[in-house]
Amino acid sequence: MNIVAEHEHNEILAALVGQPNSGKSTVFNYLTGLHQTVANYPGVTVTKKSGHYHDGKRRIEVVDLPGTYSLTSYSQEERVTRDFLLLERPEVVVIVIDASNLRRHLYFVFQLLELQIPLVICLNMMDIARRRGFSIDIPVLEQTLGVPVIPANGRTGEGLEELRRQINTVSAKHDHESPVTWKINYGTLEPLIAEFDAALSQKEPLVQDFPTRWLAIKLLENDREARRIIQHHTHDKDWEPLLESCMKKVEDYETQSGDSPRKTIASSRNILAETIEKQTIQRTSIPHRNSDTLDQFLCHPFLGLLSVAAVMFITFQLAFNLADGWTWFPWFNAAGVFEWNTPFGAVESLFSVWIPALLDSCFHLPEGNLHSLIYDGIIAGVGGVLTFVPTIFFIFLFISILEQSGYIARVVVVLDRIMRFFGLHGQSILPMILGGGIVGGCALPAVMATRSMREQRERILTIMVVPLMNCGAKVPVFALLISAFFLEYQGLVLAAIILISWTMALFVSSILGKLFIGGEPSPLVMELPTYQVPDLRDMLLTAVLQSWWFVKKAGTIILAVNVFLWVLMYYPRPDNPDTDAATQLAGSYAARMGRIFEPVTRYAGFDWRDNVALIGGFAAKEVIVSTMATMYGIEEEDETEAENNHQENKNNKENTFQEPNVKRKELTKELEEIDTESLDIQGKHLAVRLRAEKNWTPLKAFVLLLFVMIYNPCFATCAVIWRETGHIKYMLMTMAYTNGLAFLIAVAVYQIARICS
Amino acid sequence: MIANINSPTPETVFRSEKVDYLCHFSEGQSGTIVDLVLEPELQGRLMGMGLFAGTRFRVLQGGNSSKIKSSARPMLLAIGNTRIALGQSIASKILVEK
Repeated sequence: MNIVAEHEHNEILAALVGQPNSGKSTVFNYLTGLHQTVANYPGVTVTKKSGHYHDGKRRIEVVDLPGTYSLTSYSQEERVTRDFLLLERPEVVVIVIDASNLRRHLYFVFQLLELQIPLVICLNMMDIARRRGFSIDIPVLEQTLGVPVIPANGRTGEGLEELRRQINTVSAKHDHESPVTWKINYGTLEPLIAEFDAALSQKEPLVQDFPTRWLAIKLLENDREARRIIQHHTHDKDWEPLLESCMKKVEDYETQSGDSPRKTIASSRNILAETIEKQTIQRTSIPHRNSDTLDQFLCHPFLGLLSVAAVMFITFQLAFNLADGWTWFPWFNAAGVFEWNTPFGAVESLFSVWIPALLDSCFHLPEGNLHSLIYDGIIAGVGGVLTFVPTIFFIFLFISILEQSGYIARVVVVLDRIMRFFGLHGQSILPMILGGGIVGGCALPAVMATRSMREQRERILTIMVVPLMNCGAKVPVFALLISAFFLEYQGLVLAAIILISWTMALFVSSILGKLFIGGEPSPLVMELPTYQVPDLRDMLLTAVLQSWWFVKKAGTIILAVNVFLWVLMYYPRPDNPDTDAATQLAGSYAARMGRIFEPVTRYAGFDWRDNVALIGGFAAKEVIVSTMATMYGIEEEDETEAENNHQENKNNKENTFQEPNVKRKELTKELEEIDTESLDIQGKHLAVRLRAEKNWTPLKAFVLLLFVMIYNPCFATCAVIWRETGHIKYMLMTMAYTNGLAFLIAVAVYQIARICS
Repeated sequence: MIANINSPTPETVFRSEKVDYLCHFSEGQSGTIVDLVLEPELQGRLMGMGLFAGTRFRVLQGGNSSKIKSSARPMLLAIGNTRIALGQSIASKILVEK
């Protein structure tokens, strides 16, 4: 008996399996609610979802295995599922199947029954089956398969309490000594199966751990993993003659019958599934399929593209405007004190105003290192992590609408031929738009949004190119440089930015796909599920769980990096406490690093001050603007003070800024008119200032703009890339190529333009 | 109706007069699957979706007669209650008959 049994079943391990679109996640969400965690299976990019619930004293641990169409061992998901079932030995395995597609799901059920695991069938989507005029004879189905069958509807919760009861019953009854004895008759293959089975039954310790009939069938199917299992679970070199004789017999069978055993096995299963379907299903009527009519439009090559464009645009607008665009709490803004009118603004002001104010009133910390560590390092860092939460929440709310409704599969169909050309997948479009495909957005939730992509190769490529899109944090930098140097060509530069970043992303994905990721692009095979009205409970649950996952898994890394960057910018402290911020920053570690890099970055036209700003940008791209402002002595003050300050600077330093006062004011006014939203007053003054600087030319501005567009994604995104892929290597690869490419392009553009002029 | 001008490939002639590749079927046509000439992984996945030798299907969209002559357009199949989109690279490896 295993250890779990000795624990008197205080904890039960249950696994949830099923094909994609069987409604498995809805069942999982119902069972576990908020008690869910997401991790990666070791060594693969497949995400592992697990959760738990309590039933009296018992704790039931539920693992939601990846949705797969079969249980061969060709894909990562299939291997993960099979290994879990065989090696972790869950006490109950619940298979969720679609009642309206019984035959095809039975084919999958058979593969699990052959594993001889304690099975419970959850016959989901009974509502759709009823709507289509089916009635299913449950007792006959139970009798034929020899396992409990529970009719259910995950969306309404119908039958799921019964499912919980069955999980209890089956796990209590479960005894490893007497496995399920259900069998399929494979006809002409039976003698071979019996022979292999008998031979395998002699092998120690294989026979204790694995169902030998299943292994025999797998050997006939020519399954690599089955051979590997036999190799690893038999003593000595015992397995070699056995496998050789098996291979020989399979070949003999093929030459005799002219068909591969694999095909015979598949067709036997299919025929049985058809027979059982006929026995158990009664069709009363066949209603018209509205889904097909809808697909006439939504999958149409032209209308489909238009609808994808519209849906993407609406999703993008809704998600980002709800998080930080449209006013939610107008009364807070009306008070004129704090910008508390959006969820994002609320989180931001909580950490930039409320918490510091609260701390101030409770403890009177003197200005100094500790004060700065707590305020500028930790509170600002935590705030920096949490400001992502409203965006993540709303994005996943809408993503779950797209997924639950079944629309995302149509997006894939419509865009497949375009995206495939660049080594991407039809589904890649959503993360790319969310990451800033039309300027504004955020790479971090966009990387998280790739989670529903089933093709791992395309998923990794999408994750790696999403940072090339122009997220909302790059916008202030672009606005600064455009306002300073390309005011007349604003629209043109913006269009160029969008064009360049898409060209880069598609180019990079084709190259990376060929050079580093390897493998063939996955061909398009996509089930189009019936359209359904999304379930609000599931939507909210997804959004909350994704936000929580982000805070828990990525938050700590982001916080650590932010504190580290704060140290770089803040230390060493100047001896004279009255030193202004610009002088302090000029002496910081960050500035020292900036000077070290100067001999290299000079080729792209960047001096050490630009380097410091770019180092600041590792934390978040918008920091580039504020770092530059500090460096050029523009403080975050109100308008009049800033202007006075500017005047003083001008007088003191006697720089080249010689325009008449009136004209300067006009200019400031002009800037305000153009970029009231993307650039704050500090940024506008910086723009005016940059124009006046001798070493700033439109060329340098353009090169910097390109560099910022391409170089290292912010560390928050890096952390999420690491967590999402489960490998630090993909994060490092992304950092390496973005910085390399950014530098190459910057140097090329800078040097060529200089030679040409 | 325009006749199918695509010249049959040697294999199709070899197998049977009636057998053709799925990609040569047109919108609205029904047929039966004869064979999946694909690597085991894809075969397994398609079987999991209900595509076996002998399965009846109907082409909902795409295929030979569609107005858009882009060869890369996916085909939409109805197999019982399942709807499946297949890329041309796969549709050109599935043997079917009317």
